[in-house]
Amino acid sequence: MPADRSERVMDVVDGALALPAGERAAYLDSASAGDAVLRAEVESLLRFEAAAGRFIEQPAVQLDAAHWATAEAAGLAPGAMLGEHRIIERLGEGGMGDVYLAEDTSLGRKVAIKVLKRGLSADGFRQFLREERILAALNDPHIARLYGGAMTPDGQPYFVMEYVEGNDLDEYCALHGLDLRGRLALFRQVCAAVNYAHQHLVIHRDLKPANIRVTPEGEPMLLDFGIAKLLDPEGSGEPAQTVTMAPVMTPEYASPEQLRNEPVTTASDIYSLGVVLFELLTGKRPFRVKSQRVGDLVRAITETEAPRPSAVAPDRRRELAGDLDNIVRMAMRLEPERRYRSAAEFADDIRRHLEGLPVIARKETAGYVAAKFIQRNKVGVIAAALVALSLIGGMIATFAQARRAERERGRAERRFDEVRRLANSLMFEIHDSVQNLAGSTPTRKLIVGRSLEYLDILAAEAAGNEALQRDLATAYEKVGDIQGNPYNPNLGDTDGALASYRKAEAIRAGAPGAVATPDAKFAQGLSGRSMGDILEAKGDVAAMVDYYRRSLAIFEELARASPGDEKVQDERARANETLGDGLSRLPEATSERRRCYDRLLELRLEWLARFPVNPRYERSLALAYLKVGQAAMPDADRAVASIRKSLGMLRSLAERNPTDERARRDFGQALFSLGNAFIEAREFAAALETRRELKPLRETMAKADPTNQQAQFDLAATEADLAEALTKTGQPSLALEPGRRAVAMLEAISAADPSSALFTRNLGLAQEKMAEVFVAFGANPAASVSERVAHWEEARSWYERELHSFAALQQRGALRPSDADVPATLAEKLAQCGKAIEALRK
Amino acid sequence: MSDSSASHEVTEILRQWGEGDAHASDRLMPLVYDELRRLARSYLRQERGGHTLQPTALVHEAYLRMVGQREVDWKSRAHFFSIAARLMRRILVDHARARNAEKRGGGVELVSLDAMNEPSEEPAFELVALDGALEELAKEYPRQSQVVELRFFGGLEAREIAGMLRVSEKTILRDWNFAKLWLLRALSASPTPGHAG
Repeated sequence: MPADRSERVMDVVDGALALPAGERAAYLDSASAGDAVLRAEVESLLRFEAAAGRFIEQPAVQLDAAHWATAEAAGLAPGAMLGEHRIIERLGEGGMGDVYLAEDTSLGRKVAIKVLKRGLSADGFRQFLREERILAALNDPHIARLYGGAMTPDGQPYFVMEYVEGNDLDEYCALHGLDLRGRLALFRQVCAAVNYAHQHLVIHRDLKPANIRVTPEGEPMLLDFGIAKLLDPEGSGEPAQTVTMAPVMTPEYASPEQLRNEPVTTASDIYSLGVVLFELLTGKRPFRVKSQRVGDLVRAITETEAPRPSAVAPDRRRELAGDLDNIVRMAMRLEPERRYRSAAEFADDIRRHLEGLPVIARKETAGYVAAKFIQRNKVGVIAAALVALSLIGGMIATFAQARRAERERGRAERRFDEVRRLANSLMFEIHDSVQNLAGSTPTRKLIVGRSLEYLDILAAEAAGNEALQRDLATAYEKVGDIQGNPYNPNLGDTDGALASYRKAEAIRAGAPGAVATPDAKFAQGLSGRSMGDILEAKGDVAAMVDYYRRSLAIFEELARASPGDEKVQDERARANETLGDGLSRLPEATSERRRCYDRLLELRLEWLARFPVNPRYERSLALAYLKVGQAAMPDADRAVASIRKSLGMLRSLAERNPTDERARRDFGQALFSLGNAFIEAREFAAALETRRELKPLRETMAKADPTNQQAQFDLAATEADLAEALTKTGQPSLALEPGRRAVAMLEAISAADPSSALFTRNLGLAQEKMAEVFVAFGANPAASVSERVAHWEEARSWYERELHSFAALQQRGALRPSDADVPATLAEKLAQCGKAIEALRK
Repeated sequence: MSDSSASHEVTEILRQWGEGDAHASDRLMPLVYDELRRLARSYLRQERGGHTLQPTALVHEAYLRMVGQREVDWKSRAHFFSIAARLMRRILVDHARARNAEKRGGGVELVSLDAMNEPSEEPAFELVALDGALEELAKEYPRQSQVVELRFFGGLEAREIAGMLRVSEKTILRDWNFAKLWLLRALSASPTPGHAG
């Protein structure tokens, strides 16, 4: 609910409470002015007025243990009492036990009570409840709450849970005739709830349609979260009860590792979600065995990859083939570590499919299939890697000897090739195949270490062999990527990565023959960029810029040599852009930065003239105008002119491609920059207009994907900017609303990620905008003195909050150099507020 | 650590906080937490022993013991109390959770609202559930949620809270009455439009 809405609800409730009961209806009629939702909200709160009397009036510390209500247990016929709960009726019998509908007599709410029928001692149950206190804390609108548990008088454990009306997931879809898109949308909500629980370290362990209820309003609710752990011998501390296990665990939806009694992780829930989705899409379960034996089913699940959904649902083949096949099978991979990494990623891939974007899930690659046998078993993989390593070591030794003896030259060359092939296999196949295995880091380090050893030996032997030198340089670069390229999953060894990149560089520089070829130069230019990226991650800005400059020089040289080569020209433009972006970190390099962007613009213009209809180049050109404009600050007029050009092109691109998310984002970015440039140029009315245009765009994007933090952040920043423009155009009272919204959103965003300097900084800026609103109020001579004093005080408190935000940044060493004077400026503003208050009081 | 050195340390940390040391809170928390836990334990022990105590704000006692008459500005004082109330909440809710889990195999235990008097018609509620509801409340009504934290868990008076939050006492009472309705609704049966999304 937006902040102003909350404010409104409070006002109306407050007004109603002040009135005698007889006058309320009329008051609510006029106060809610036809807003039925507001009125319903207020009325639902007022209903508790009578109950509110002494509620929480006594401090919490005085609530004594002696007064904990006692839950007396009784029989389970309708009307019977179980603690505070009156049994209404038996709802049914689940795998774990009987489920009752009951009424919580103290709170007057309906609850579901699940009485476990077997397999658990009192001690085991107690231990479970102690361990799983966190279950009770799961608080998601799509997860049924677990209120607690206790024992019946005759020692049967039971749970008290939120009661959810509705149908099971599969029933619901059938009853309402949901189409594919509807089913996928519903399923994404399920994923979001599972993801919430996973983030709270709770695994469901028994996801299936019967545990996913859909309310009449169409909201999915997950039942029995985490409770299945009770049936897991490892979790409950009970001895394994194989007899009751299989029928209880619903093997059709269980993951291979669950059926093998291996450790269960969040990936097991992902697998079960995959089965649920399979069934939602096809109406069939993925594994069917002719025999009735559970063992056969277990074997099928643990040993076979899931079939393609499109293969079992011929009537829907066209809709399912491709993305959806791949998505379901990615979730259901046999190896947990190769499934989606999270339910959120799973949901996101479905979103991409729905929006027509490329999905993460791919068919198995040939390389994967070949390497698969070693992936089943980590020990096996590591052993294989070690065998390969020792093999290579031995071969290198033999090779070096043979070479030195200058005998059997042909054989030595052959060996040399074998070494190269093995080396490649080691790094490109074995490494990549162990990369995603949990705990494989030591092995990966060993592979990298050994690879470096033999690369060093080969390098010494390879003088004069151009092809080999190129290979070697590439190999060192690959090792560097594994060690520390920030854009790759890496070992975090940035120093080692730099050393490897430098070796690659030295080989290229020291092998004039090799360097001379344009291909080698091209590779060198790219590796210079990677070096720059690494140095950026290390925070070494000077060295980063140095490498970006070298990379640019190489591409410039190549471009001069082959002016018609599209790829080279594109890289040349990108090198200008990269260097320009890198230079933004050096305030003193503004003019060089502008030169880079000017050059970028020139190249993009040239290029578009040659390929006028390629939208990619059109976008590149528009972005070049945008960067030129951004870099033109503080020359606001020049900035405005350039950004306007960019905006025009990006607007047209977005209009021509209404479904292209990125085009909309680009357009928003340009509006954002234009608004800033207008503020800088003190053209506040124009800034206001620009920001008003931006807001609905940002709102749409934030609404389209509420889990996308960036979109939420962008919207909050836009609200703050809008508040600023409204204050600056003399309309501070209109600025209050967007300002408050911005602060509330940014508070939430920074609370979710307190380490982000960007979020904290923008919170501070939004607080400043609120302060400015009240400064404008305080400066209004038409208001009364006491009002103005109050406004100045409010302004002061906002500046204080801002100061607090920036102080936090400073503490963490995350204050931008350009913000260095902010704390001092704020101290001054605080003093001004004080002076204004003093002057008014006199 | 003797009281006087603890007192000195806390005053010093508050001073650093006042000078913009954001990490000061991190150092303050464990000190205050320990002190509050100690006080809470002795308080609960006494009460179980049958003593009738005056309504007490443990955070006041902690403040007096840890800061005493030393000079700190209003902001530091407010900061201390908001931290102390947050920690009181944690202590009491943790305590309730632990008892939920231990007693009678983990049955849900309900705190009678009017604990000291005759059983009454007023609603009973569970502290852990209240804690969750308060968290929910904070999403839409952060100040109102804080007022409940300061008053119900921290034991502070409306007047003191008004001084801390720099708003009028009337506003605090308004926040309080509204929050009570909201929380009761959240603790009762079904989700409502206000917090179902």
